[in-house]
Amino acid sequence: MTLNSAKPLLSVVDLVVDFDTPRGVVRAVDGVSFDIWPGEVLSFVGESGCGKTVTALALLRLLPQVGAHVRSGRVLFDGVDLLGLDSVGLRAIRGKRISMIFQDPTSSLNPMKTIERQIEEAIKLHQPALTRIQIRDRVVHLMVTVGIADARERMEEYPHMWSGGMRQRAMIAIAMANEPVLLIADEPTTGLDTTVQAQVLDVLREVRSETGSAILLITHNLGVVAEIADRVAVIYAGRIVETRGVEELFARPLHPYTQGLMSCQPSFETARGSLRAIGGQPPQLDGPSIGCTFRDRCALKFDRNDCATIVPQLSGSTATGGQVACHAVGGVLS
Amino acid sequence: MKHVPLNLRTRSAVGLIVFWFVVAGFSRQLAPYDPFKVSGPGLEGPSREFLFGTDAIGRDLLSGVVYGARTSAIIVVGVGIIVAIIGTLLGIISGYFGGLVDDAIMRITELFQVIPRFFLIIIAIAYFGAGMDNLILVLGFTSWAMLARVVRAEVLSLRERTFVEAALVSGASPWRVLFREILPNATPVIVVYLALLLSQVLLLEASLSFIGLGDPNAISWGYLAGASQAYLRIGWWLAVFPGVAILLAVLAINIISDALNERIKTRR
Amino acid sequence: MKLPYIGRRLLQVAPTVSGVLLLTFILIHIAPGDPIQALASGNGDEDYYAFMRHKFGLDQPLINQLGTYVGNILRGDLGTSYITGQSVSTTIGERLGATLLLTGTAIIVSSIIGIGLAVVASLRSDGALDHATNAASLILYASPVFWIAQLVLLFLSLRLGWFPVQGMNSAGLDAGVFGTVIDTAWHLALPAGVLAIQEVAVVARLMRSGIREELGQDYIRTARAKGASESQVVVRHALRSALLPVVTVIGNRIGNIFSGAMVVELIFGWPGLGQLILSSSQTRDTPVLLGIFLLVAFTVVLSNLITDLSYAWIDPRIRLK
Repeated sequence: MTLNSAKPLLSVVDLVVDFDTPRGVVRAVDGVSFDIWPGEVLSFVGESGCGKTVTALALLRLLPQVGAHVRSGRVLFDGVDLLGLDSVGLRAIRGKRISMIFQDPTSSLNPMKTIERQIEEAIKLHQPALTRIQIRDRVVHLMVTVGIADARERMEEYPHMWSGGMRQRAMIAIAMANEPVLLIADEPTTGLDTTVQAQVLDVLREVRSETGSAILLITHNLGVVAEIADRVAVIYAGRIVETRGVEELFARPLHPYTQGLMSCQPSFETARGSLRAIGGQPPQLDGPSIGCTFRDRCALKFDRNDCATIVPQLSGSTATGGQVACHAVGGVLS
Repeated sequence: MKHVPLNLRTRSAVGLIVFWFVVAGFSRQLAPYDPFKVSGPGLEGPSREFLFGTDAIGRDLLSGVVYGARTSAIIVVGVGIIVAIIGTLLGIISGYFGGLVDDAIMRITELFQVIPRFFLIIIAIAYFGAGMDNLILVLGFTSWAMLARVVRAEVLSLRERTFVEAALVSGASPWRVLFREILPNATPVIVVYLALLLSQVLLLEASLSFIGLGDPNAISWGYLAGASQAYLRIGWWLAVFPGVAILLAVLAINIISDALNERIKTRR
Repeated sequence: MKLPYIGRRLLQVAPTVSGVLLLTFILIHIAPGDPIQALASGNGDEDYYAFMRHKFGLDQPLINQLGTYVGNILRGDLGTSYITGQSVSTTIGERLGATLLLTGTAIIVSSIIGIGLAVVASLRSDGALDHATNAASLILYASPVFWIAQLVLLFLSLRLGWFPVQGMNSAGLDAGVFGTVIDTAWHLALPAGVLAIQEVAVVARLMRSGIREELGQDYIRTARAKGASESQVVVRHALRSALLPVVTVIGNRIGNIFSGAMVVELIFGWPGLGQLILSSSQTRDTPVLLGIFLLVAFTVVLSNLITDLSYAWIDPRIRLK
């Protein structure tokens, strides 16, 4: 954990993303701001549809070209706003300085190309001067690093011949091809068997310790967060509602939504009966938000006018820089 | 079906088809001259007197095109009826009963999709002789394959729908369900593909007539274009106008088929 | 791993080929008129007819006749022309080369241009090329091929004089091998171009919608995340999968190109099968017409087979199925 670095690696400021849907425009990301520091693992946690994946895709401008609109915000990386960068500049960063792995390794790999060709492409795009032998060695090295032992035998196979866990290892190898300073991992273990999940997390931990990359890990699985994250940002309805160091968060979740999430997750300590769901549904994000978007599901029943009228902002600061956006508990911090 | 206003393109297409069939129905009355008789000087370009010009021996081309409208209309309607009956029946039987019957029908359908129709028709005409009736029969008996496949697919999907199951559960006979529930719902798709098939038939017939295999006793657009070949150097109009007539007719059918297809898609 | 798929696909050829043979056999037998009388132009007596019937096996039961018929065809014996008395295979063989040159050129040229157009259209964001292709294909699809051919001949050959009007080579050409190739290409340009232009529209539209569909796939996002440019994304990733529907059509449309070629050959005086079809249908020389039909039908069956096999080459997943 290198929280004491002077400058953040990446700063996102007030990001707003809208989606066109058949039922009108939906605000998927509603003013998200956060920093990622060199070498840290920041985890986005939230229910599906809360905007965590959209935020991650927006950083590298990988949102669908039709139907998705980045309304405002800045993504500062090395003093440059990625959202305003021309395509040449953007391509120089994608896959080289910042790379990304996706939820479904099956559809994220090209079914028509061998694994070798797909890893190779990531290297060639940014290191055109390498010879064929150097590239091949690099591919094998990457495959071995992500735990594909028989790399030389299997590199010429096609994705459909591999298991889900192996495919995700290949995806990580692609992402690590140029030793990026930031790896964005969007639900990298979702859909994999529990044992395979653990293996993939091990691989992520491994490549991180080898290359020192920072990781932005997107997940809805608090178990994954506890295993690997340094810091957590809890996202609800397109907003970050709480951001804390991982131990601190698990020890004492502040936001009522975070508390709800925690009690949804089974763990060895939780007694069977105490597992409960958060009542109600996430709000339809189709109008401008008035007041706290969580108030209908809030267990605190904090009876203040502010909850219905004023959108709570991230505020306060715990000893390690944690913040929470809640009228009820915000005051506790300061 | 809900009434959505048609766009300009579709309305023009409908207008063209109506115009074509009116011309076809009253070709004798509408043609300015008798297209079989010499009415003026030979190879005269378009003029006020002869709007589309005259052919080598002085017959009026406009009158020829008007009579051609009748020929193509008869062929399209005749082939359309044969294709609709064969294609719908085979498709329904294949899709509804499945099993061996389905297999057998689909093999035959594939065969008719694979064989080059143009060449098969040439042989058939060589054996059975040219003439409007033979032409319609041959075109009809060789053009139904795509329709049968589409109808089969439609029946397969409709058979799984709740309203069909409901009818079957309530004790309606399979044939009743077939003709009361499935066929009416499959009709829009049948019309879309029938139209597409007929525009192909129109082009096929034109090519056959162009090389002189059409009905020797009827004037058709393809025949007129074929007859122009020898005079291309001096009489451009002889090649241009019959082709325009074919183009417009085929275009109109295709546009209507497209529009109807769009409507089916948006309804689902 | 490839063998099972190829093997099963090869087996599927048998029913189609038998179907084609059976269909033509039935056609011959339900046709009005007596082939023996036709052969003798009605000039023989009863003894002669009986002799001929026996000679051609027409006095045999139908099933034996079918066997003989199929056997002859599979041995490449398509019978003799009523008119010239020459063997049908020889008659067709003499003209096949020119037709294959014409259709082959049209297929290759239209595939390359159609695919190219679609790629360029995918890289343009304004969609202008898409609109142009759509409008053009609507018109071209509705135009009779002879009309396009006549218009092109009228304008580019007769009016502008850029291309020769008729034939495959200039009269009295003596220009060596290279000169002959150039001269043939010059004669080939218009007829092949006319055949190709309708195909271009079809290929471009299919390819375009294929690429559009592929561009929405997750693995395209991976390629973008690697830092690939839009053209690299389209050419290296989307193109290959988008080829599948196009390959299907090229196989299926070979029959159409052949029939288009017959008409186009007549208009441009191209010395291929088109002229043969015309003269044979005027003289009702059915063995020749039947021979051409079988040739084209088997070509279509064969190209469908090649199409399906190239699927396995394009998409590695199919090899396993």
